[in-house]
Amino acid sequence: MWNVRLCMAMGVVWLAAAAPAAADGDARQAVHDALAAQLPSVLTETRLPDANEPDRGRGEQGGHKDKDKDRDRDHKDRDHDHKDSDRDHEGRDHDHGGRDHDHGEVERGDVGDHGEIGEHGSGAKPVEEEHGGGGGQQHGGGGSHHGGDQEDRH
Amino acid sequence: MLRRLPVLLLSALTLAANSGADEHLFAGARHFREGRFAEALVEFRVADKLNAGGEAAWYSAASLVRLNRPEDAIVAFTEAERRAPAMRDELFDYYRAVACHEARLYLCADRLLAGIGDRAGPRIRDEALQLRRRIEPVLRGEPAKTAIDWYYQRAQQSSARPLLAAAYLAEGRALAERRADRYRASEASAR
Repeated sequence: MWNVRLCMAMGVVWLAAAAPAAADGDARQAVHDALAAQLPSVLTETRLPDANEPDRGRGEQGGHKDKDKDRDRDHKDRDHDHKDSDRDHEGRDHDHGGRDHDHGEVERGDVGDHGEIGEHGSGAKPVEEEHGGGGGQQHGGGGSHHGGDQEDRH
Repeated sequence: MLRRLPVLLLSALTLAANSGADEHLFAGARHFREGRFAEALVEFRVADKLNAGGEAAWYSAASLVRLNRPEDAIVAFTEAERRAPAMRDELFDYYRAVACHEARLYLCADRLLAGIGDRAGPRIRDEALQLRRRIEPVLRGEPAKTAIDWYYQRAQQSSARPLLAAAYLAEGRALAERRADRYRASEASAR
């Protein structure tokens, strides 16, 4: 009986020790600090929309072909970055072992097509104007929004 | 003691899973702080899958705001609030308000910003005040009928994403209520 108790106690201690020293609260605090350090700003003009605007009726799915062309034309430089990014993430998949699928699922939507703020349509003008009526208001996000659509498809 | 074995093992495994989630939260925090929001989003989503607590869902939503994906962020925030309502705070409310602004959901943004008080800290409070000042003129007076039409159109176009459609519909209805003739207000209620 003593042996059983001893084994159980050792097992619990070993599993607890396997956890990193940082507690949940530390991780939360780290994320909160990062979020507070990177507060977002509004990027678009503040005005009520109008159903008679040129881009009316362009749904989220609409205009992707045009948007893709724009992106290919204007952001070729970023292709290289994307490839690097993909490679990095492929590398990381090995670290996660059985969770490869989770990573792949997220990355296809989020990493490949994204554009960080400032790369696309983040100027003073409303983004939909910059794209020449090339779609709904989210098109300012360029690839980033497209990434979301990819997620939807998965 | 033997009866407690499954409970002890479960607790230990949960602890181990949480620690795995923590790793990804730390990695996500680092990426976020350094402006790599797409990578941060990946980490937060993995953390979310490892820990069902739902806190990482809030972080993912915030990442979407920084990735300039306001509509996705609006949906993500709504989901996060459903899953982990206790996690909501002024910081998330500010991020969410920016998402609402970028999606042209100005009443939504204003409502969130109005709730951000001193507890948020001076920086977030000041940013919130500035954004409210920016929104205030837009909400002054009666909204045009064509503005209300736009929100109903967006709701219809977003029908595949019910949470987003609901947000546009609520905005359209709230704007309609601001008109003396309550243009299309009853239409929104009927949906």
